[in-house]
Amino acid sequence: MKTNNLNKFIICCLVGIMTLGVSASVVFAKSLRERHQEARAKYQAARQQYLKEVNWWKTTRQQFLQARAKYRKFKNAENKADYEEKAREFLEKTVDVLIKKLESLKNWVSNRPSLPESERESIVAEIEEDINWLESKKTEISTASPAQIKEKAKEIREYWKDHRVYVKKIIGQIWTARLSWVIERFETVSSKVSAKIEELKAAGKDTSQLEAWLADFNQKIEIAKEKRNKAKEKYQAISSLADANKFFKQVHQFIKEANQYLREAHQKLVEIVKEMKKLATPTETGE
Amino acid sequence: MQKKVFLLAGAVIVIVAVAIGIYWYSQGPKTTLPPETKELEQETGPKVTAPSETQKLSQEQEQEQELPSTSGIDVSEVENLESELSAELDGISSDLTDLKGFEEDASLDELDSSLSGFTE
Repeated sequence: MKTNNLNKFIICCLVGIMTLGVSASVVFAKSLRERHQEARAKYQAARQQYLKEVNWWKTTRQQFLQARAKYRKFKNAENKADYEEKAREFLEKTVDVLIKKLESLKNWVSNRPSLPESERESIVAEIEEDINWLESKKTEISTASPAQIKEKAKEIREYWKDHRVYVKKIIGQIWTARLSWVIERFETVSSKVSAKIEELKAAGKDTSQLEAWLADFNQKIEIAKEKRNKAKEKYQAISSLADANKFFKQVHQFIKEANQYLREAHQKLVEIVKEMKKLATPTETGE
Repeated sequence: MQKKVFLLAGAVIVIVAVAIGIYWYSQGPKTTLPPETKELEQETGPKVTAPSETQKLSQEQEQEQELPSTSGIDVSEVENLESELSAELDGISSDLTDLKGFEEDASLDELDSSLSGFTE
């Protein structure tokens, strides 16, 4: 009887382990598209949080402007206290909204497996540094005197000026890193296609067309790399608000062009695959 | 009698375990590899080539030396990589759009003028 119970126990354990195994394989077997969709969904959620914060910010801004107008009109102690209180609330909300904005960007970057890890980590670290700075300002604002509030507002204003430049620069950095990732995938495919062509050649197939297409494929990757490098130069040149827009437009243009060349390379690859399938099919061997 | 039932159940479990093992092995690289080494997924060639291996055997019997080379060439790997690149391109397009939207965000355009109000 004891043996029977032991057997039952072992069977239950085995079934449990097998069920777990099958479930785990189903859960983790995600395609690239699914991973992209998941990352996008996470970013959209963070973005929604940010937009909610923007609405709150607009409300507190309105309250601050009204309190200020009232104080300027009547100039009494009661209005002054209300103005100072609303100023503090508005400044705190400004810091909150900036933090949420940076968090949505951080979320975007950290959920992108298709970014080189070192770049991803350094970008996230940079964003976190900014978030930490803002967090420290938030603490200071909560205990600041009315005179200090003005000082804090000045600091946040300065930060905002730098932030607009910084966002353009960091987006340029993310775009080029993202492109580098895809370019690397294309290069891997190129070497695999080349090896497959060699196999077909060794089997006595005429691979001249495939070789020409592969050369074209590689050339398009090279041009995409050149465009990516130019985009990199431009985003690195962004240093002030005055030139940020001009350089950012150029970065965007180079990235778009690089992407276009990769699309063309992919089209070439589609043709390569079709031709390879034709050559590898036994019926096409001229029996 | 009860012993036989358990022996039978044991045998069924072993068969199921072997089947799951094969399934697990075939799915293994997909489930564990990080995206950085995704292209290696395609190198699980034996699974893909297995049916053509059996076909090859019968073809070899029928046609002897005529097709030994080409029938062994499997282009499904390149085909899979092509569809992966297609997914990559879709991903990068949506990523570029997301970030452009982030940069163009005008929600906080009044921030500067509002903060300047503090110092007046």
